[in-house]
Amino acid sequence: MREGTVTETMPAWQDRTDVGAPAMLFTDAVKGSSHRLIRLAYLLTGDMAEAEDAVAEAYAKVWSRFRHGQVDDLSQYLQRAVVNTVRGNLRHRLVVRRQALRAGPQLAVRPFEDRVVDRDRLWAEMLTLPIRQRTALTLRFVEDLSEQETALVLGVKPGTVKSRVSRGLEQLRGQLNRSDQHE
Amino acid sequence: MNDLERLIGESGREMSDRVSVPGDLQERIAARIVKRRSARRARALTGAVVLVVLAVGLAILTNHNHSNGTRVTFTAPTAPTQPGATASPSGTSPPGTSRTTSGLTATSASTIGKGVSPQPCRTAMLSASLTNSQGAAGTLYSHLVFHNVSTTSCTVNGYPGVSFVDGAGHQIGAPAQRAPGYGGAVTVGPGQSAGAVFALHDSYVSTASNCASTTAAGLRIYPPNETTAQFLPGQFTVCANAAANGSASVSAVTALANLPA
Repeated sequence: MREGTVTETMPAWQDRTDVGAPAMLFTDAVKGSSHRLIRLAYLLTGDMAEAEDAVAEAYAKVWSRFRHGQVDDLSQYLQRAVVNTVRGNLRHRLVVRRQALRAGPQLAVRPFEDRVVDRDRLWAEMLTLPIRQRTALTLRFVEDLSEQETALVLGVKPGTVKSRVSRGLEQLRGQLNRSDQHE
Repeated sequence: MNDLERLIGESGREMSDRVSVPGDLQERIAARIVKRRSARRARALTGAVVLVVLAVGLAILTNHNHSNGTRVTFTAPTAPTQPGATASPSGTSPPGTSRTTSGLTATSASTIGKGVSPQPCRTAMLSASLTNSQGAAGTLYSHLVFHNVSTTSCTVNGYPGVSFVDGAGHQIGAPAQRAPGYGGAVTVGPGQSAGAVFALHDSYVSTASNCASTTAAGLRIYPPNETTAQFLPGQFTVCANAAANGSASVSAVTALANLPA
């Protein structure tokens, strides 16, 4: 679709700011990375509207640094911004979610037969993990980042990533087993 | 146990099918950028007001001590203009108009008695050229030089935007990627120059499978942070497919002395 020529239409922020070339580059970056970032935010929040908002906010945060040429690894910056935005919004919601999951029949909307539901159940359990563990697991296994790369995105040491991952896996495994026994 | 790791990875990636990019994402980002900016501006404004009040207060005090009966007059600075209201989309406004310092900042600066620092260079103040081209292992390195043709000093800070265009001025393929390295503002006096390293990756063009190579008629060059471009004619073999974005790269602008010989 975008072969040959790149469309000349300017993005919305172009009208309101004093920037040219960086805006062009940034537009391309938004087009190229938004789907994946929204997926990341969705996995971290479990809520699509919230995910979209978090991604829009993350782009806005990164933009001002990007236009001044202070960003060298854009995709890492964006991931970091998404993670931080989500984390800021999310803290109190964790409690609510845990209670909901314990109280009622989990995700009773659909039966646990096919794989689609399996993944829903897995991610419902993921959403009850502490956000730090969930983020580490998601970046490591869904985004397929190495321990080092995950550490850079989170701004922590690789050893911290390692322990968050192993604790997250352990807790998740425990929760899955427990809910299996209930059935 | 690797099963759970794999399950997380696979099921997480499968969630892609639930995700769609909202059509108004760019507008939403823009709205948030504007919101963040006005919040920043409000903070800056408060700071400037405090400065002005302090300066005026000092002036009144000193005046009071030195001479009796002289009135100190203070003209309120004009409010900064809203960029959105005046910026022209085509970027044809004459140099300086959309970027003049707000009355407030100018007032506080002159009240305190500091010199005026150079403004960012506008496209019309600069003349772009390519010099010092030399090939090395499939890459042609050049200096992308910005010559200050105006009569005042100005600053250049950041990455220029460089893309390839055909004879009709339509962009070909992806813009030059940003290469890390230099950074910081460079002040360019009248008649002086600053420059960036511009690299053409011939080996990429000849090997990328999705390249669709073609010949460009020239470069469209945006000086850092500018919305108006200059055209620099020249024949370049580049990838027409925007997804094959390795045809060229460009560094941030730095002093000429910093560029490799």
